This record gives sequence, C-alpha cells and structure tokens, in this order.
Amino acid sequence: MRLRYVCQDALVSSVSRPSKLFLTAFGAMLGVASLVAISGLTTTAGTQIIARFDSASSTYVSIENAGEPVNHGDPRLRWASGDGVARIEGVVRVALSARLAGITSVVAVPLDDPTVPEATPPAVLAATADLGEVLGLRLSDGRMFDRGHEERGDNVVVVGAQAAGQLGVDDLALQRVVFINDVAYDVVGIFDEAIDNSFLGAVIMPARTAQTHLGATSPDVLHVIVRPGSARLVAEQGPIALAPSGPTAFAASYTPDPTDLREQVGEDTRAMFVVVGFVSMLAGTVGIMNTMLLNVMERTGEIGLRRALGAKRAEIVVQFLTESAVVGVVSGAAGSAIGMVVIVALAESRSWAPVAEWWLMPVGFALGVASGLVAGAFPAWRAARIEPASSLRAA
Amino acid sequence: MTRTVPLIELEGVAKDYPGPPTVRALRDAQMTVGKGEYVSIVGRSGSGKSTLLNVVGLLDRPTCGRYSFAGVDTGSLSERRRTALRARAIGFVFQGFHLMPHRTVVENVGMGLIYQGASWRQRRRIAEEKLEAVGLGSRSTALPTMLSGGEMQRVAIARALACSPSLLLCDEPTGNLDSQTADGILQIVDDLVEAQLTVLMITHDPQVAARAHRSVVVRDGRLIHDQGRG
Ligand SMILES: Nc1ncnc2c1ncn2[C@@H]1O[C@H](COP(=O)(O)OP(=O)(O)OP(=O)(O)O)[C@@H](O)[C@H]1O
Ligand SMILES: [Mg+2]
Repeated sequence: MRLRYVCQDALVSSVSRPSKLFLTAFGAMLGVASLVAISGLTTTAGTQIIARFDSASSTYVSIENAGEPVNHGDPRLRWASGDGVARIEGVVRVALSARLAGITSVVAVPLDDPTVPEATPPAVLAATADLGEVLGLRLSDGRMFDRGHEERGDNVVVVGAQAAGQLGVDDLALQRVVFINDVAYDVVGIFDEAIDNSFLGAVIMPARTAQTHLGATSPDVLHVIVRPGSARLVAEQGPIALAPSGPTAFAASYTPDPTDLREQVGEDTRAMFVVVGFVSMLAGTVGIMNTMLLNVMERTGEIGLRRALGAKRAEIVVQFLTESAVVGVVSGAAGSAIGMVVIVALAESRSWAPVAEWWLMPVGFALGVASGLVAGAFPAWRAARIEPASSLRAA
Repeated sequence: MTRTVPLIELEGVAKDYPGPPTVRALRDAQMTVGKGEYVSIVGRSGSGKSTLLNVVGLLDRPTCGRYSFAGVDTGSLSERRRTALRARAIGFVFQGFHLMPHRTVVENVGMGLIYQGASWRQRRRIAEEKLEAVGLGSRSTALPTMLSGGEMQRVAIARALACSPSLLLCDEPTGNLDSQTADGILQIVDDLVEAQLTVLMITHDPQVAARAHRSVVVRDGRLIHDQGRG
C-alpha cells in the first residue's frame, strides 16, 4: 500500500513539471528515435534494393554463342531461335539482337564535307520487336517499332537518349531521320531507360531491315525474361532447347538468386545500426543521469524532510527510480513515435514503400524505459544516502 | 503530586561530530520536558542548539548518554523503529520551509502521511483540516511559490501537524520573517501549546523566547536551565 502511494506521489511529482520532464527525456528520446528510424530505414532500403534487384537481374537470362563455329553447320543463334526457348516453363518473353559490324557513319544530316573528321558512330543493333519490352526500354518520345515494321523490313529505328543527344535528334518534332551508311531511316522513338544503361548509347532497328541493308545474317544474343526464381532453370534448359544435340555451343548467363545478397545487406546494416543506436542511447542515458543527479541535489531539503517524516531509504530509492522511469517512458514512447514518422517521411520522399518490423515500436519503448531505469539507479542511490539531520540545517 | 512520565528525558547526553577535527557539539546534557511544556532554546550561533534538536527529534543518535522519549529508551530502538516513532510522534518546523515548489499546498501538507500508509483521499482530508487550523483553509490548491513567507511557514506548520505529533520541534521558525508575520506564527504555536502540544523552540530573539514557559540556554554544548515561569 505504502509503496503504491510512494509511486503515485513520484508520478505526480514528475508530471508536475512537464517541461522539465520533456527536457530530461530529450536526449534518450533522440536515441530511441534514431534507433527506430535507422532500423526501419535499413529494412526499408534493404527491401528496396531487393525489389530493384528482383525486377532487374534475377528475371533476366541471356544466351550467346559460346564461340566461333568450328565446322560449317554447327548450331548458332538464328533469328528464329526464340520460338523454342519461349516454350520453356517460366519464360515470359524472348527477344534477339545483333550488334552490326561495318557501320561507317551514323548521322542526322548527310554531310559530304571530307574535311570534317567523322566521329565514332554509335552502336547499331538489329533486334526483334519484343526487345523493347525485354530490355525494359522506356520511350520518352514516340514508340518502339512493332512486328509490322519488322515483317515489312521498314526503314525505322529507335534511338537511345544518349545516342540521340550525340546525333542531335532529341526532338522528334524537329528531326526524325538518321542516315546509317548513307541510307535514311525514320526515327520512330527515343528511349531514356533500359535494363542496362549501355543500351542508351545505341541505335536499334528491326532485324529484317538490317538484313536488307546491312547484311545482318544472324543474331548474337538471345534475351529472355523469366518469372522470378526460374532463371537457373531457363539458363540450363535454354541451350538444350536451341540445340538438343549440342547445347555446349551456347553460353547462358544469369545473376544468381539475390537471397545471399539480401543477407549480406542485412548483416552490414544491422552492425551499423547496432553501433549508432548504442552510441545515441548511451548519450541519452548519460543525459538523463546528469539531470537526475542535479534534480537530487536540488531537492536535498525535500529528501531530508521525507526521511524526517518517516520515509525509509528504500522508499526514497523507489521514488527516484519511478521518476526516472517516467522519463524513460516518455523518451521511449515519443522516441519510437518520432522514429516511425521519420521512416514514413523519408520513405515517402523517395517514393519507397516504408517497411518496418512489427517489434520496432515495443522494442524502442522498452529501450527508453530501460535507459530511464539505468540512468536513475545511481541518482536514486545518492538520494537514499542523504541524511535528514544534515540536509535540513541549510535554510 | 503524582509523578507522570516526562515526554523528553536526556541524561548525560553528548554528541560528537567525527572530524577531523572531532567536534563535541553537545556535552553532558541533562534535560527533562513534560507533556504540554513550551521550552525555548537559546544560545549563540554554533553553540549546539540544532544538534540538541536533532537528537531530541530522533534525527541523530547521541554519542553517549541516555535519551528516553515518552518513557521509551530510544537507544535500544532499531533504526526502523526510531524512524516509525519519529514519523508518528514528532513534527518539525525549520527556518527554511522546505516546501516542494511544484506541488500544491495540500500535497505538501499531506506528504508525510504517505509514509504512514494514508491514501490520497485521507491525506487530503487531514491536510485540509490542518490548513484550516493555521488559517490557510482557502489556499489548499495554491502552489507555494504564490504564497508569502508567513503563509509558507504556516503551510510548514500544518505539514508538521499532519501526523498529529505529541512533540513539535521548531528551529528558528521566525528567522526569515518580519516581526509582524512572526507574531502570527507564534500565535499559532501559543494556540497549539494551549491545546497541550509539547513544543521546543530554537530562537535568537529574546522576545520570542519570552513567550515560552521556560528557556534553556546552550553554551559551548552545555545546557544551562533557566527558572520556569509558569
Ligand atoms: N555535520 C557536522 N559535522 C561536523 N560538525 C558539525 C556538524 N553539524 C554541526 N557541527 C558543529 O557543531 C557545532 C554545533 O552546531 P549546531 O548546528 O548545533 O549549532 P547551532 O547552535 O544550531 O548554530 P546556529 O544558531 O548557527 O544554527 C558547530 O560548531 C558546528 O560547526
Ligand atoms: Mg542551528
């Protein structure tokens, strides 16, 4: 009973000075907030990295010729090779491309001035129409060439943003023709994003067009988009589908499953989070302890009087521990709430999905309370040692 | 005349403060105070008045000698029993009021009752009753910082009275007050004595001392007893 009244009184005592309570709690509150925020942002960023990784690499398989053909008739990639691979379980879409050799000039305006040195022309690729989707090309202007263009062998190209800048065809409303080896092609689209940024420096035309004008007889890469988790299977099955009798003529590559990476990222950030969190909690705890010590000194008279009026040493300890526990509760509650707000705000500003473990709030709260109790132990012990006789003499 | 047990009985009491150097603040003190007596304690600064009061108030143990409170030999009591006896039977009023500045007047007055196991409701009822007795019935929800010095001392007296003590110990309660305000405080003490409370009052002021039944002079730790007047 008595102890309950002591605790109640300590509680009233703490909240009777709200501004002091908040100032005392401030350091530990920041500690808890940073802990919660760092932990949550780690998870959020980690999830974000994994998401990018999933969307970029683990669903992409490429198959190339393993080397130069030794005998005439050895299996090679052909423009029709995609059909067999497309039937493998887990394959979403396939496309083929060839990097064209023998490109001497790629310009927007035909120049006959031999005194102007010719710049290195951008890479020119021949591709099937599905390449746009397979490589995740994002058209900033115009559109990707389609199957119709491909079947007819139309003189059309799409240009990467970087190549477009180099050629001076940034704006299709002003300029929509390029000359490749002195043949004119319509620029139907400009793309500014791709699975791999090296594509932004390329000019891409339909395979049949390239065969007609530039003699591209065979593709050199088969690009495959697969469902998540199917990459390995497709990389194994692809070459077999292409050449059941000699799959070794092809080399498939894919990026391994990101699970290992996910764990790696988790470990690194967790270590950092433990260190930063530990340091800020320590600073906050020392802050509470300092203020509580000052508090005890300030209230020497009150403590002496409580003792004179019958308080046991243990009851003085309980009183001051309760008061610092209240500080801990405030820093834990406010700190974890602020931490959550920071996570949501930062994630929002980067348009990431905020992800936080469910235990962050309760753990942050518990840490705040623990820091209050730890910080309060020494001041409470000091308070209990105050002798009523000597503390009451001072006026 | 029937001999009743005196409330306070000091026999050969001495108090040393361990130094270095060791200070003998009280030596061979003999004193008997009966129930309902009003005794003033006078003497120069540093003579040992507060030391005497601390011993009598069970805040400090004498180095040697015997101190009986209401017939109980306090030397034989455990720390716990001494604390309980002090909390139940002795009230203190100091020159510094020692009020908690952020707690209301009722909370200040009822504070000691926490350690008697009184609930908030009981504490408030008793506190309001004692505040009424010192003429501050209307200020119970005020904060001490809004009160005058005289009012603060009256709150302190109400707090000392909250445990219904049989002995009230005052260490220069009027030291910080002007004479008119002091008079109000002393009037309250007179009324308490009238109601059979035993009071020991340390003071520097001869006029204050004169209101008591008798005076004890402390000189270099020795007690010199005046003639009683009443
Ligand atoms: N805790 C202590 N340790 C050592 N010496 C002390 C202690 N308390 C008091 N003294 C010494 O004991 C002597 C008596 O002190 P006490 O406080 O009883 O004097 P007092 O008569 O109350 O003086 P005042 O009128 O100034 O309050 C003084 O010499 C003082 O210095
Ligand atoms: Mg004194």
